[in-house]
Amino acid sequence: MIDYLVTIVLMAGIYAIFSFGLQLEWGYTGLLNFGHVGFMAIGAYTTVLLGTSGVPLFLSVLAGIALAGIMGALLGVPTLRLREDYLAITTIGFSEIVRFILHNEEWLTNGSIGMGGFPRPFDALIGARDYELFLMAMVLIVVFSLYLIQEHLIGSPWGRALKSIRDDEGVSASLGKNVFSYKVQSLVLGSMMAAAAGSILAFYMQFINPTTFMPIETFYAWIIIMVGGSGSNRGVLLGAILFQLFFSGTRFVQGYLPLEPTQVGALRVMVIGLALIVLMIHRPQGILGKKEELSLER
Amino acid sequence: MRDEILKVGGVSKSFGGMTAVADCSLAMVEGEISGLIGPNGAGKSTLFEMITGDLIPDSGSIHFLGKSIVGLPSFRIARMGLVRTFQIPRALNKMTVLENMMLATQNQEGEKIWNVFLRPRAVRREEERTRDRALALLEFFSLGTMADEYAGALSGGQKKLLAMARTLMADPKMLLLDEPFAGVNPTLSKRLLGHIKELREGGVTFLIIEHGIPYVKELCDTVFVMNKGEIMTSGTPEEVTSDERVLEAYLGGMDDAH
Repeated sequence: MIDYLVTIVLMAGIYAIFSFGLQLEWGYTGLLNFGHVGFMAIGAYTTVLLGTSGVPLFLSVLAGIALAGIMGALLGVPTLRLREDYLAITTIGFSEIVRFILHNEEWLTNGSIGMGGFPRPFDALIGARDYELFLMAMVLIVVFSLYLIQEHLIGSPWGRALKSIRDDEGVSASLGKNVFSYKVQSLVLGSMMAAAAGSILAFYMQFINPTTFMPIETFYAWIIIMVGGSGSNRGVLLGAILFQLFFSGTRFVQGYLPLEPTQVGALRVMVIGLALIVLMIHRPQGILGKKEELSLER
Repeated sequence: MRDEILKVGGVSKSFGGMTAVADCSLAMVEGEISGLIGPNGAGKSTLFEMITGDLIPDSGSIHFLGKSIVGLPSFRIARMGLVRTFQIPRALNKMTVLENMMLATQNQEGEKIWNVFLRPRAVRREEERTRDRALALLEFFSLGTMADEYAGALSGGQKKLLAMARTLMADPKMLLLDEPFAGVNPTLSKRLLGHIKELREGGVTFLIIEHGIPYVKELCDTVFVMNKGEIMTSGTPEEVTSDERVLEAYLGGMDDAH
């Protein structure tokens, strides 16, 4: 039972870190990123590849985060001057390109077979039995710090500029704000958070392959934000917990339903879809979102 | 003789063969209020948007405070002190009235992400100053009680006041107002009129697109009249409103519409 709880908290935490990035981009800047998972993959693979080749783990995690940030900038610079829907198209393409590269460059990534048996931080020191507990503690620390950092950022003049871009970037520009620069900064920071989530995910799963980073992961983050409330950091926490409870809860159902595992998987997605529809009808701003931020459209 | 603050020299702009603005020149002196009038489709807004950097002219020059601003992005032009409002007031609806105001302050330390982390105390002090100034200005514009409301909850007229107050937070040297009185009730209009005059006393230069001739007469030192993409005449409000050609342009414009 404890193990089970640890798993839920761990996974909810990883998804929360992942979703914080998207919340910054969408919830506060209005950027439509449909390829968030690509940055998670970059973080995970960089950490694992550097870790296996003997780079200190702390550095390999940082390298993954940095590389994701650089990729965010490279992706943002040509696309963020365009209309927002172009960003959505480009990012979803980007995340698929990342996945295909990981799939095809077998010399580097082992292709679809994936990579396992890589070192984890304090592996020898803690031992396999308590490792998940340790990882959970680490994740909680990261989630909590990230929450504080994000709140601090959003409450600052920097965050105010982001929110103004979300509302009406023409107004921000007319008041002397460098809209493009803020958008790039938001995408870079958001991507770095996704990469951090990717590194931790790799440490937890002890095995990664390209299918770990399917586009659906991006939309899990979207679900978390929509359920929790866009423009709410507490919403990210709540959304991630609910999402994880739902996902693991449906595993229990398995035994009681005359369904194949794949059918349960399909049912799960159907229930999520239904729940989202009901939510959008009755509480479109999400559980912790602010109603005014939806109803006061121009 | 005071200095020319804005000088537009022979700018033209066409959209796919349709000439919107043709060889327009105008100059504005610091501390003056200039009006830009003309029938619908005369090219006023196009000219306006070339000055604000939202459109790039096909040819011609625009100088603000002696520096060429052609091709500069609009946010850079705003930072130089040339700030605009929009015809339909664009409040940042999902932000509070106070946030709308505080956003507009230029060169805030806290707008740089590293300062947010590395110099939190300096940023906090700066925020207090910005907030005090914003609240004082809101009070001046009789929006003080609305400070913590979402801007989206304001009436159309209040949004126009907010837009005006917000531009002042940016310490503009010159304001471009796009139909500031359109859709504003008489009481608010009177207040807006007073605010503009007070700001002029404070040294702010204005260029105002306005259809309401009484406001133009009341406010403007110089009026530029546009018709069919050209500046057909300019002069004091009395001169241009008694000009036969101006009347004809307005009436002729109406003929075209029928």
